[in-house]
Amino acid sequence: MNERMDDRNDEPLVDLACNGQPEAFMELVRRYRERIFAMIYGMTRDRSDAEDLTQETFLAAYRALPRFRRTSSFYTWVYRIGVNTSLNFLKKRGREKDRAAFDENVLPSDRGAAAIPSPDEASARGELEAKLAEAVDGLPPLFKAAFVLVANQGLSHAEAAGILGCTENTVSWRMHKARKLLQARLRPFLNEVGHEM
Amino acid sequence: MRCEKARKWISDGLDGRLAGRRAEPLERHLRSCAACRAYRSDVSLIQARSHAQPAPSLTPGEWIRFERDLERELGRTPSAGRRLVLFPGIRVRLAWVGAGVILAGAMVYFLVKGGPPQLDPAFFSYEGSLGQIDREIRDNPGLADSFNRLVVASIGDTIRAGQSDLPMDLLANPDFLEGWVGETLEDRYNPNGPNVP
Repeated sequence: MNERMDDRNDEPLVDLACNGQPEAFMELVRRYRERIFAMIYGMTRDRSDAEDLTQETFLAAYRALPRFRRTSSFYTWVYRIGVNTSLNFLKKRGREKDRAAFDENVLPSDRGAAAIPSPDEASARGELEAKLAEAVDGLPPLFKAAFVLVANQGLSHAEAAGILGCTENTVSWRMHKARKLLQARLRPFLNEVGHEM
Repeated sequence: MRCEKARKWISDGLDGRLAGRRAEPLERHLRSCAACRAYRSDVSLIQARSHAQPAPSLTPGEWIRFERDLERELGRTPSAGRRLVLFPGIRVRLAWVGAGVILAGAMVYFLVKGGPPQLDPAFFSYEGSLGQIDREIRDNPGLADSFNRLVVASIGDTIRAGQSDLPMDLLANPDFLEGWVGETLEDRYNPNGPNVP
């Protein structure tokens, strides 16, 4: 069945899933699970959480299939559910409160992070990625969602706007704010090693 | 150009969204602003590292477990297709139509019914108001004198306010005051003087 289904478009699979065939839905899951997982991981930065939320996303999609109006592709629709599931998760986790001190005027050195070592280039690459991941994780949820979709996942502003339910201009401003926050957060590290890379 | 605007345009440019007519003014600003040049360098590096981060995924074994868990959850979930959804896709429109019909019905009702409700004239009937006073006066002649004086004084006040033809109209009306104060009124308010016909 899987081999036959692989050649099908999403639309017939959605129809079959709506008619009570979970195996058709599982085929849709196989098609998009990797991308949904990567996006959710970008939001949560936790592998286990990302796995749980990916599962939750597909379950929510299955339950909501009768309400899928097909004004967008199935993938975009599931993607949107994934983003909303992640945002809800982040809100529940209360990370935005923990990160309330995240302010572009407050440098890491002000919060005890002054002892950034002077790394050689190889370790600096790894460290920059770790610092970047940490900084992205500390972004306010909506800025983070925009940054993950556009900068990590490579979506256009229009695609991100469709998924986030806002205008392209809003995505553009969120990206700008996210970059300002990240640059302020990473400035000492970037000054030290970034431009050599 | 202000640095804030330049940095917004830098952000748009990184996402391939900078309008062509803005490129030249931005470059001109960057040539003269070292801070914005450094900012562009920083956010470009952040962008490059964000793209470079490998997309995380689960191992094949973990995906098998993922599918198994999800299939089990789908089995517990009522099949999407078996749910009865009336008029999918037009429910919102139907709700608006329903609201419009109710509103139109209410408007028609009030138009047909007429203006604001009228007071029941029986509410101010003789039996309901003056009749009570009449009954009390019959039982107490002293009260009748007091009441008459009060009424006459009140009518006098009204006449002094400029309605000089009122007493004759009142006296000509056989229903008004029912003869309680007729003589007194003639004496006091006859424009020709007391006891003059």
